[in-house]
Amino acid sequence: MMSVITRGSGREKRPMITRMHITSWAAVAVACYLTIGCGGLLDVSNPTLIQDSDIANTSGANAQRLNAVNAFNSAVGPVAAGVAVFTDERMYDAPSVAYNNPNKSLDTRDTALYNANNSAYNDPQLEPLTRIMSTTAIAIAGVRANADTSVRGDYLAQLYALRGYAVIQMAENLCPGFPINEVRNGAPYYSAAFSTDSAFRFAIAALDTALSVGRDSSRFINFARVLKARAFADLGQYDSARVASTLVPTDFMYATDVGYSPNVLSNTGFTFFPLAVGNREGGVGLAFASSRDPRVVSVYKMMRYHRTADTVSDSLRDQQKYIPGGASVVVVASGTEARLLEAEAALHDNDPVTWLSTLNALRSGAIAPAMPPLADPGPATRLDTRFKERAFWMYLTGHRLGDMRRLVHRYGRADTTVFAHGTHPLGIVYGKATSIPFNFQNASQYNPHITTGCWPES
Amino acid sequence: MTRRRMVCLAGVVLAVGRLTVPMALAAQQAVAAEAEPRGRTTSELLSRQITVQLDRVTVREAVVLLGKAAKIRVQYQSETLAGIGTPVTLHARNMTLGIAFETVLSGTGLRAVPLAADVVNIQPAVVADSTESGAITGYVVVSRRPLRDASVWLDDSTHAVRTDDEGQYRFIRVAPGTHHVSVRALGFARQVRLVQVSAGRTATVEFALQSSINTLDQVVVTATGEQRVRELGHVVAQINADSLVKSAPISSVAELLQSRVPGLQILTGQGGTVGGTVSLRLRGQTTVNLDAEPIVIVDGVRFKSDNRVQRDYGYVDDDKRGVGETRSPLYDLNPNDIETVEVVKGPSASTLYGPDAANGVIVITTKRGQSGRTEFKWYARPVTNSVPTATVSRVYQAYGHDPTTGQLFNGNCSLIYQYEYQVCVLDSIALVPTLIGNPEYAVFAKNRPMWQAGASVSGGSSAIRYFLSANYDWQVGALQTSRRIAQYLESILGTPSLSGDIRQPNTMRDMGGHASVAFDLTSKTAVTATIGYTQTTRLSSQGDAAVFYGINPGTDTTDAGNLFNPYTFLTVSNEQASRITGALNGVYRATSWLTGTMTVGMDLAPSVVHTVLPRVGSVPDYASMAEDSRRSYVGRTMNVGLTATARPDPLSFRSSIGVQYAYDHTDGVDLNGSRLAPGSSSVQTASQLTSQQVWSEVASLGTYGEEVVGFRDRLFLTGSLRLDGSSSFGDAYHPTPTPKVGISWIASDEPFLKNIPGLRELRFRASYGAASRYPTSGMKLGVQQGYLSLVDGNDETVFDRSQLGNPALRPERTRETEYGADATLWGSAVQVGLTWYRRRTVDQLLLIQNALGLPPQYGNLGLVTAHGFEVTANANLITTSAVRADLGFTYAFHTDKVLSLGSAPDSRGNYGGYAVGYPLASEFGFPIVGVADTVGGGPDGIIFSNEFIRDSVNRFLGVTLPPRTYTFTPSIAFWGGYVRVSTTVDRETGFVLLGSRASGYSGNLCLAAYERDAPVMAQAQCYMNTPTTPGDFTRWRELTATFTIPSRFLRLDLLHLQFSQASFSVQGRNLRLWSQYAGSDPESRIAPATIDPSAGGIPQSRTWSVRFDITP
Repeated sequence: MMSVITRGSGREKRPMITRMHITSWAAVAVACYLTIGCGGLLDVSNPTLIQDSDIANTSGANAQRLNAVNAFNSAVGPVAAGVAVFTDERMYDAPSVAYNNPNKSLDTRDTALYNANNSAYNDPQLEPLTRIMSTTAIAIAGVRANADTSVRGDYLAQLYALRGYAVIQMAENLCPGFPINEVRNGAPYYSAAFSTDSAFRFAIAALDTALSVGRDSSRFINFARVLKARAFADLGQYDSARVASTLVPTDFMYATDVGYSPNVLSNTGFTFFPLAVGNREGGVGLAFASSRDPRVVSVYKMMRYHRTADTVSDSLRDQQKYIPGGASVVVVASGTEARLLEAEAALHDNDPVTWLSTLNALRSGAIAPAMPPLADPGPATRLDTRFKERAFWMYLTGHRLGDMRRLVHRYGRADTTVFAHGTHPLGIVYGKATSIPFNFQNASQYNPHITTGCWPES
Repeated sequence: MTRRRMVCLAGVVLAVGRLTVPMALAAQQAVAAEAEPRGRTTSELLSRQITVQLDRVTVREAVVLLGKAAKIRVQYQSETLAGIGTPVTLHARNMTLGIAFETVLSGTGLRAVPLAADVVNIQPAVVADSTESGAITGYVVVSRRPLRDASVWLDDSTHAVRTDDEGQYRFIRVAPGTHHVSVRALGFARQVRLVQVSAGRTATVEFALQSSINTLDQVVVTATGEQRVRELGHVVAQINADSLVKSAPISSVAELLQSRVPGLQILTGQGGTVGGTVSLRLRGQTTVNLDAEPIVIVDGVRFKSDNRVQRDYGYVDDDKRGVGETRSPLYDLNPNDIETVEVVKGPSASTLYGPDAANGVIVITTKRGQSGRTEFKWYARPVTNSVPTATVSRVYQAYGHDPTTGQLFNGNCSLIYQYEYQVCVLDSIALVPTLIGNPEYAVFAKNRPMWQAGASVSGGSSAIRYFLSANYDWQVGALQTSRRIAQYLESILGTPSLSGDIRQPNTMRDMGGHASVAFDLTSKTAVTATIGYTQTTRLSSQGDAAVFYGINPGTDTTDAGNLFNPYTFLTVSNEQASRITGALNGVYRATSWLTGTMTVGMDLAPSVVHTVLPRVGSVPDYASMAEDSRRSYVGRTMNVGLTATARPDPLSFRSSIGVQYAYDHTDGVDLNGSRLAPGSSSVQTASQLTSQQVWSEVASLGTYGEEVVGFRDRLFLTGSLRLDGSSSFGDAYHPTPTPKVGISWIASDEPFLKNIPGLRELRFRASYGAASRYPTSGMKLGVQQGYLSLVDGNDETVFDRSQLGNPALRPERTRETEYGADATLWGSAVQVGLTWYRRRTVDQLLLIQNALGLPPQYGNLGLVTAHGFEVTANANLITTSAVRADLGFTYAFHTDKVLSLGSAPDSRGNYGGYAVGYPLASEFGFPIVGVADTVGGGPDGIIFSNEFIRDSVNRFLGVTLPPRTYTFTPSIAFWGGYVRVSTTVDRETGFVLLGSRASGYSGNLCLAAYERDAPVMAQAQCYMNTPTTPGDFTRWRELTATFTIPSRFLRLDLLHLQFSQASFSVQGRNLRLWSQYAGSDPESRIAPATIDPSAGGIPQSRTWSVRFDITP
């Protein structure tokens, strides 16, 4: 439709508003089409952004696997350090004016200060272990899709074994009701709350997968075997534990990589709060320091505040297992542990001869110079001896809390006979926590299945 | 007075006496009377009768003699009459002046045109070039004086011509018919004339403008072209940079903007350094994780203005330019090349500028050439630069000895810390001499020289106009390496004298130029090309910060070895940066009602920063290092627009559509080398070398349409719509229209309000608009980072998914509603503008940390609201024949609040956190509520770290951006306006900062940290690393005295110097600070580009300068 408006003198005819608008909005339509249709103008590149397609190849899959291994290497130190502080492996060394609250709470098992709802709690257990779960989940997808077939099985075995380790460590250390979160299909996956035993079974399933897909790699297969045996022992299924560990050679070791973990567990890593090698902590702790056991090497500790070496007291010593800056590794699973589990199974079968011979075989062959053999301490203290041997063989490796809880839950010991109690040298009464809580506030914020905190006295 | 001075003075007097050029227009206009209708003057002047006798004189001499005979002034351009060699002979008695000029100019193509009652201008005759078209010409005068730079519009198209020195404008090849010709000029009321153009004829339309401070008829640049303020539903702040830089202490764009626009905050870094960080905030902080800087558009082209690269690692990171403080790209713009700056504050106004205009837009128009005679301008501005030591915090140092060995601690004893560890016994406390004037330790040099100079030339004809400028800027920071430190560094280097780079750790040189050429290709097509170039060399030492923060000078020469890291002072960073920004603007007037515009532009900014600690002298190999950071930025802009107008009385229509394309790309690499070869300073000789690539690429394409409907030129409705696509939106994003509507009602033009006493102008306005900020690619796609790590016994490349992607991310969308009113009262004595706005940002992009152990990811979670109030007021307090006093005032209030964070957690940090119910960029913490002096067996008067009791709740401690800002600008002019004194005082209140009060990284500013007898609460406060202190301050920002040389002095003729204008001004900046802030300076922020509120850096420098502006 066309029309005319008259302007000025009336002699001049001008184009219409209507026509102008038709023209204008037609141009808008064209521009809109260009905006949407000219997708090429909006194509950009970014060589610095690694996208999924960039790593959908064998090397990318391996790099993802190595990232999971790295997460494992990073987790072992903090997890083991937390266990050491919570248990009798390490203890205070000073009047402690600068002994900050979270660590003091950890050392004293103070559930009031160190409670599950404490948002300031930095969660040294669940966080690094969840990271193992998330990185292994991502890596497993990458390895399944892109790894070379010659190594795919072993890579998967390693990754599933790492998941088994993470879940076992959660179950041993954390109070029940924790989540096992991870990443699935590029998004967070939040699990239901796990009880301790259900988590061990979850771990065994992962380790079964590892054992089923692994081929000839004794390293990963044996790693999974030891972990599986450990999980069965935690469940009190000692026969299954013995079966799982039987094929593991005594000289087998699965350790963190040199250069990453050592500093975490070294003296350097503990300089922010003062701790010495544990020595009969709380009256029931083991004498890690004063026994001068070659498996727990220590030296006189320079007292932090007095700035002099305490050569009078025989108790305050620095651990030397992990030397600052040295090439120390953390042995997470080993043939030694396999033998110890078999010994425990023998003891459970009331076979003290096999139990003792197994322990003495380790003392003679797994350390140089050989340690003197043990004599049978008699039925009343065999269990103590068995757990003491485990504690010294696996000092500062993150096993101790699981063992102590096992003494309570599987062997019926009162927690006061296992965990330090009474008055802490700071003048504080030891708390009653027998497991480490996770950060409930954080967990419940994201995970709808976590509605109550866990009970560290469990 | 010496003889030499007397000779010089005499020479100046003689030189001034020979000047013949007309007096300065600006000064004349300031005291002008009412305008006189021009037509009557013309006929009277040319009818005047004269008697002359000319014998074989040149045409030039002839017109001068005619002028003398008629007792009038004759103006002409020298080149106009040059080369006309034909001698003129004229003997006349009682001949009219018009006939006399026609006779003399016969055959020259020139004519005499009267400008006023006693002025005639000799100029080319206007001849229509076609029998099918006509021409329009005429003059624009104010108070009988020609007005240059007025915009003359034909039929309200988007294209205007500007008047030349003689006030003349010209449209050629105008279609026959009736046309509207309108004139707009800053400070004058708009006028419109209807003119009939006939084929082959030249129509003359002349304008005598009335001065007015009415702003409604001013013209601003909008996304769709130039528009009158009265048509806009939103507020646009306009800064007339051309006149401001001559009279105010301005050496950068940041200083040009500071204190002149309510709601615009300039966040600066280390004030005492030169070429530091500058960050802009318009109407507060409204985003958490995305860039909060407004976009800057120069001549229609996007100009990278912030320090940051949108690295696609899921976050916005600082670009790397220089050591310590990054140099703001705003320094690449020379304020002397800027004509106007317009500030568009929020989405209610900025919708049409594109997807990242939610932070506001700063529109800069550079200077253009004017037709007329060639005009040269020079300016020079020597500056002295100092750090006012009154604002420097007192730094304490404790001296003590080891309780066990008795060994002295040379200035390394902190009572609380050291006593707690029982390693030090306090012997004495002293003020560190570095900051209090001891020349041996002085780190602040007084009166550092700076020098700025420039020149420009402009001119041209009606067909081609040009502007060229060049400038040179040399600045020296106020920090220096103290003598004592220098001695120590000399011992390290084994040289008797240090290089200037180390002694003077912060200098900057800028050289640049600007060129603009405008020409009419045809009667319908005009093109303007502009290009700006800047080359910068900036030297900075890492020691410039260290010299302030970390030194421990000791008590003798050997104690200088206690410098926390002497090699820091030897590390020098050399930044070489250049920048070319070019724009090609084309206008095509298809018909009298349809105009097309196109802008094509490019912004190129390559730079390299070479930082080196050479392995020379006794510098050990492990300390030596070299780093090369190279950046290459490319920005491209292309805008195409079409605007149609129609005026069916009483309505008016203005329809615009356009397409905008913007491309932004930064490519860079960082090479970091350590352990250099002996004697080397090259990164290539490093035995350990790492590298990193930096890449950012964003392209966006948008289209818009806008309709402005006017009713009787007093009610305007605006509606617009924009649709965008962007590379950052991702494939999953479906473009969503962003609308904008506005209304502007000039109530005072309504008949029923015409006669209200004192009310000259009253306007109500309202607008609503939406804009968005888009996520980075990394936010959408996730981030996987590769790095080397020892795994499986080998150094292996590891890919870590450090951040999960979220393909469903949408842009942050901000919607803003703005209401306001503008009034001019009591003639033009009072002007008031009030603006209230309310802003709502949805889909705020927040980092969801996810449960511990899982990678984080971004989500559209946040909801933030904001509102604010802005006032602009100007009042003429006194106006007499001798004195005029004015007062300017601005006030801005802004507050925002986080209403929701979705599933994202609070970020109650002490570096700019946020939480539901509190403003963005807030400060949170656990304040100390008491002490329990019990450790050590009971009260001992010494507070240890575990003895103070903190509040159990992480509390809101304050907002870190000032919610209230005030600016007072009184000025007074006297002696007919030849002397003008103005000053600016700023006040900002209601905010807190992380102070350098205590033992933070800034060291030892808290005396109670050492004093055993200090109150225990004071000790506890000192013990906290990051106490929050009020940042409120009042600053005497500017003081300027400007002297305009009266024209009668310029008119004197000596030495053939022909100055047409000359002025000089004395300028002071940052003259005084009043603040209870415990740190050094509440305006010196550690990281102004972020919401990190850490402050307390090197104070803002105080400058004094003198500026000379001369127009020959």
